[in-house]
Amino acid sequence: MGAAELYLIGLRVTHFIAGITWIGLLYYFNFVQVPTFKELDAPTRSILIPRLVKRVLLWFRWSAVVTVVAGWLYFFSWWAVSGYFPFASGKAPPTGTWDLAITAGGILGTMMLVNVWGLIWRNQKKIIAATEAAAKGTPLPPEMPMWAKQALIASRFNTVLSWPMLFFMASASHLAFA
Amino acid sequence: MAWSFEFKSGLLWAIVVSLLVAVAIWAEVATHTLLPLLIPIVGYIAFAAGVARVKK
Repeated sequence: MGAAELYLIGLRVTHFIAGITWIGLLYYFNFVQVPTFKELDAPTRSILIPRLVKRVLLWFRWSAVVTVVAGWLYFFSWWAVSGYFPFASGKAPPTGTWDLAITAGGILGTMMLVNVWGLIWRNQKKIIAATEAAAKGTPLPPEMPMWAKQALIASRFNTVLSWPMLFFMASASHLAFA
Repeated sequence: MAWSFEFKSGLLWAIVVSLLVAVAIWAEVATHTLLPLLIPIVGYIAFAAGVARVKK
């Protein structure tokens, strides 16, 4: 096994492990945490948000970064190893099933990453800060339901978008549509 | 997941964006350029702008 193969398999395995962590935590949020939190009273939620949710979100947002960075690095490294780079060579982009499926899945996955940092985490960190402040006596801000709603829409969007994303990723080597 | 406003919004936009990705991939093959890949990105920006406008 050469250095290039080791590098590529390293990226691929990193992409898988980080991706499983990310999407696993996304499903945990949507299928387990959100319905459970609805059943809990405010004092219990205020104990869990700064501890459990904060920790889950740390793994969630950084595993998203690792997944997408490793994925695109693999994609462009594969193009480079294959002697193909449209931006440098001016050639038409490759239109094989693998290239098209990974491109589609990669675009969807990248949108999900932007959602994680731009909508979910941006709103959740405000909720965590407000909850921590409330524990010290500061009243909860009136914007709190709005932050929760925006984060939840983005989270639902990511959950549904993960299905076509995984379909494209899985079909890259198992379905000939090009 | 309950059939809530949040779920319906997320579902609707995820379908729209997925269809835009499919169109972009088809257009990439038809035009032999990467330019059509901007189509779903524009769709996503519309989604993000819509979510940012959601109030209580």
